[in-house]
Amino acid sequence: MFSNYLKLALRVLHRNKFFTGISLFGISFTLTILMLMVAFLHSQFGAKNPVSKTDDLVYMRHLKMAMVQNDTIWTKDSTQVDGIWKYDSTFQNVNNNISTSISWYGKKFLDSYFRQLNSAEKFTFIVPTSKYNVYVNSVKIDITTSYVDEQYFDIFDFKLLEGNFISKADIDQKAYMAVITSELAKKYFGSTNGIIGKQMLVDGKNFTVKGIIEKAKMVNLAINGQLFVPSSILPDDVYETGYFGNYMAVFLAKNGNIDAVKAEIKDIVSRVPFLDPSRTNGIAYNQIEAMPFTFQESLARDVIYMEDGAESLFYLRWVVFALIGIFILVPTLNLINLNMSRIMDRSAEIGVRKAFGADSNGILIQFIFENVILTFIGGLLGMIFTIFLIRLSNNLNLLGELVLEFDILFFALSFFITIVFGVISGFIPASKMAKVHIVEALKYK
Amino acid sequence: MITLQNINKLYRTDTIETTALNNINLQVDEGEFLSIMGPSGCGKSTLLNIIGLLDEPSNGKIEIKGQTVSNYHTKETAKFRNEHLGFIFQSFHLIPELSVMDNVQLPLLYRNLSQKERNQMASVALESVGLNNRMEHFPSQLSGGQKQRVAIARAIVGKPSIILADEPTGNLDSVMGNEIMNILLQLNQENKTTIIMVTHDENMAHKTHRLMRLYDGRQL
Repeated sequence: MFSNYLKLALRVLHRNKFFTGISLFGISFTLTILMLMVAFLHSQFGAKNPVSKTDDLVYMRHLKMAMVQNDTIWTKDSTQVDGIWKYDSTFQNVNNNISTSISWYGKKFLDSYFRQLNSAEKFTFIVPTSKYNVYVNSVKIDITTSYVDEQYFDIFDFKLLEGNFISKADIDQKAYMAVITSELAKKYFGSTNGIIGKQMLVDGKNFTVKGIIEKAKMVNLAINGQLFVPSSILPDDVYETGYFGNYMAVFLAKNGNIDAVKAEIKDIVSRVPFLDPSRTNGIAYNQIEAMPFTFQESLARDVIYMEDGAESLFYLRWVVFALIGIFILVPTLNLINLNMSRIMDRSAEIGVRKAFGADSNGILIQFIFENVILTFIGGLLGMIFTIFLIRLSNNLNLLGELVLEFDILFFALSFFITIVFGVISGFIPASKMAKVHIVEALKYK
Repeated sequence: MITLQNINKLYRTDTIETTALNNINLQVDEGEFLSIMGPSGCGKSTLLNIIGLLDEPSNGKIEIKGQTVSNYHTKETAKFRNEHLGFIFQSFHLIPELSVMDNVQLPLLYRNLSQKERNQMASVALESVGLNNRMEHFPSQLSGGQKQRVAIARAIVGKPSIILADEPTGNLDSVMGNEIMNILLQLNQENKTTIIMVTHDENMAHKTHRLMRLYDGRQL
């Protein structure tokens, strides 16, 4: 039965070339967009090297200090009661935000309060992205440098291609060692072979290449460095004596309990003493707030900035959901429309099939099957376009650090979306036609 | 074999009620070849559709092969049609995207048969109408007479006991029309297939066992 339907489906597509062309274009274009969105979300938000523990990480990027003063608002109201004027006064206490500062963390602040979190298994303090220009053979190379500690490469599982990571000894000795990405190795040395132990001059300092890693393929402040060096080599003036500085912190939660880490961070910060105004340009900050976020919240905040990362993630999910919905709904409605007119042309066939014993369910299944075949072909085309566009994007670095990937999960999800699309866009026209009376259907020639 | 009792068919709109069939009573014996004639709009095709269970009467009773089929649900009716009835239409109604072989096999798709069995039965049916050399052709490659012969093969492939033909020669010239009529007569004589045929052609009608005339939905 289904081989018969398949044969018929392919022949119907062949007969109506114009309709088939329009439908396949629409389907493949829609599915290409959907698959690219899936690839983007999967590549950016999915768990993979060097952030395979996305669900266990808490990012601490910003510290907020505010000066809030209590203000009183006095409202006087008058009204007439039995011809006599009566007066009413209302006093309202409000918090008036005089000054707010949000910045990264100072190293001393982190060292003082965040080295002993009970809820965190590991932590790392990073100065994530300092940019330097170097010239090699008169060619300018932009280098993004990250200053890291010895726990950095325990938390972020970069793929080590050769050599070793930055060690505790390197940190303690303030060694000018560097771990570089293979991409930077090719740019700086022209190759990744035999460069362990070689010297690199960056920001007037000579670094010895200790290790080569595969670069991160997602956009993430903490991991998008190309050159990783010990943070202990930073001069003392970078260690702010105040609370603000150039650092961010990342914590690996024990047993995946990120809520406990967030709660502990907020609790610690709530008990941190306020700074003397002489150290804060005369501003008497009287509120301090840490802003710990999960991996997804941190990324979402980069897209939709809100103070609360959970809110950013919430709105981002809805935006993505709405976009996916629009990209599925609009072409589905169009395809339903196209299918309706196509199926109307085959009314006589439906009548004949019913006359010879097909029931409405059989007709429904046949036409949904045919539509699934059409969308499957469209889906295959869409997959080919998607792979081509992904390769193009990666080769031309159209998305910066983000490298789009496709894998089994991606294909399975794309295949699933295709089938669902085919069933949905075929169901309404098919069910409508399946109910047409035989005599009415046979009147069509 | 076929009994119709007090069959009426009414069509109602918001303002008008039209009587297509009025109190039809009919008995058709097994192996009989019955023609139905009448002017256009007299209800011939409506009657044929009701006998063939393609349409429902407004009231009345239909018995076929001892079964009261007028009470059947849609699925039962579809199964009954598949097993006992074959249809031949004036406009052939072949599926253009399917080959001759696949068109003939159409009724067999709704039975539990293997591909091999379907092929075999379709070959036999095509041979009986003299078209076994056109199996892989498509309807667009056939003449009118050949298309109707394919339609006959499709109607008989499942070995139904009753064939319903709605003006089977209406779209054919006289030569091809005679050819088709001869095939139907042969089917009736050799296989004892009961055939009910709607026709405008008096000559064709007189070749059958019995002629029934309708006028304005009534039997004459």
